Amino acid sequence: MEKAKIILTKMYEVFKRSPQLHFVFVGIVLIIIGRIVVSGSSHTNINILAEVVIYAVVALGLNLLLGFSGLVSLSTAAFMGITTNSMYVFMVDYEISFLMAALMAMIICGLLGLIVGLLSLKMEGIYLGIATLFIGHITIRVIEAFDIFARGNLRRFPQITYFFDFQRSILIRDQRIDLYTLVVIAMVLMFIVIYNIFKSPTGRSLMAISRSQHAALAMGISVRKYRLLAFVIATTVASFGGVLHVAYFQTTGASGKWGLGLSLIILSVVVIGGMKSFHGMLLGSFIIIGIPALYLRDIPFLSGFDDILTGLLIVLVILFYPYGAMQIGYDLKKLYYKAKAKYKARVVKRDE
Amino acid sequence: MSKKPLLSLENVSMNFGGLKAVDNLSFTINEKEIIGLIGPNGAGKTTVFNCVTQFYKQYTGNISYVNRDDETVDLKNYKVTQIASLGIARTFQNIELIPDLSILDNVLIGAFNQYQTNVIAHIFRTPKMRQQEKEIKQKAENILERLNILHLKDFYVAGQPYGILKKVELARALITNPRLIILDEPAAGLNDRETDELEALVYQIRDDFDTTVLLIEHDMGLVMNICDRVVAINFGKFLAYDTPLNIQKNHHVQEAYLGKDE
Repeated sequence: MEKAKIILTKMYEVFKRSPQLHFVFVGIVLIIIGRIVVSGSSHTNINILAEVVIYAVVALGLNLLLGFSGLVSLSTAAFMGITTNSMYVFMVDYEISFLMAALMAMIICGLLGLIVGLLSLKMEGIYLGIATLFIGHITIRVIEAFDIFARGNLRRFPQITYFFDFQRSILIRDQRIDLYTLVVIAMVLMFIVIYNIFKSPTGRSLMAISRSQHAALAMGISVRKYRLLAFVIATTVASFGGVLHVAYFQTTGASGKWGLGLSLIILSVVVIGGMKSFHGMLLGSFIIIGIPALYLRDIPFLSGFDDILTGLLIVLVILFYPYGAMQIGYDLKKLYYKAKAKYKARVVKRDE
Repeated sequence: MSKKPLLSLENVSMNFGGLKAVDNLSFTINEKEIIGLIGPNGAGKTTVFNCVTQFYKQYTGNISYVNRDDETVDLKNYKVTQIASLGIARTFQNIELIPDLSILDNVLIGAFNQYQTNVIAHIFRTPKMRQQEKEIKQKAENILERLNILHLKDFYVAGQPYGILKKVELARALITNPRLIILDEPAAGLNDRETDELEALVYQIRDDFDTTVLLIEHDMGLVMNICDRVVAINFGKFLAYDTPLNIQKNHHVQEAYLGKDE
């Protein structure tokens, strides 16, 4: 019994010190929630949960750009669209395996990210935002112009073999939870990858080029190289989000889905969740994508106005939590300690 | 004391559209010296620093430097990002730190050139990367300890007092293994006690870290106390280059600071 206690406290200490394990823990909790949702009566809600997880990953990629490197991009969703459509071409027209197609799509997006990055060497701030906005727009138009992309119409993937002979279909209720688990595992891996980058010389260099270019240059950090790198990583992560969309929903998504609207939603996930926050991306994604879809739509007389409510919610969060919704956690902690101190003081008084 | 030259400027001029910020300036710094660069406001002191560290590339004239292999090189052939690996480190007049990183992480940014790992290694946290990170962290902690701010290493830079920030910038410059350290107004904004501490620190930098020091300073007391020799300039033009005592007596310098007797 004593031994077990010692082992448990040791495990807790290791857990406390390793943020990577926190992501694993969150992943396990998400999978458990998914299982509960699937076994309940409103089992289609699992699709919304999957969407929340996917956009948390994409938002984290954008966060690397916005929060760490101080660069803005409004073409995040377009890169997801490129990925889903090119994966369809690779997998259905050329019969390439899922993993290989995903890898190829991510490489393509990484290269496109390099081109956007080159633009960022010449412009900053709002001008960069406008330029990326049009890159996104052009991308959608290109997808809509070619027959090979079915002119931007939604297409459903036939049976996907993910790896070895792992085959699941979203159309079958019992198989959805397996797909959801896959998406959550991918999310945890991506969170760990980005966290490792953040805590490495690369992450510090990205912070340096955005906070103080002079200091970065004087220390030998090339601003150009790291701006390009930031864009390549961010677009590759966005593309990874596209891969997850294909993996779970098994459709390409209509071209209209990948426009500016979605890019702005992803941007607001970053703002609401908090710049430079990791768990905040999940919270932000849940607030912006999860809450309207799960709760607001069900209130009868509000069903048409859920977008307005989402907007109000965003304004409220920005007003009261300008550094992101993760601050709510700190406030709760503060309240807890205050209540604890009060309770202790009362106990001491009574004892006297 | 050795008298080997380390850095020499020959007829360096820098124009900002019509305005001559630096005008035909020449002087040589020897190894292990502490050199002050003084002059009234707008004399072009920081411009000289920016030319040496290659932030400005359009200067005319020649800036030569003796590198680690005892070869004399023309600094113009190097990019601004290569200057740090040559052994020239600098601090800034207005503090240039990353506010939302810890003090230790800020110092680690200075060690950028010493990492031999790439992004892929960083993503997977390879053993080599972890080993290197550990070694460099140790080195950074040693430097912070010598500057007496090790206990603050995990605090964010934002919100720290000015004196601490100056020290962090110094630590960041020191971790680059500098041979020449360029300080842009190190005493600006410091109180008297901190200025005294800085004096001891500059000697410590020269002796413990084996470097040459070039500093811009307005605090004449400090300059006269610690510098071996002082370069005085005004409106970009060379006035005098001598020991502090002689500089004080030099009537060109007196004129520049106090005005001409009519």
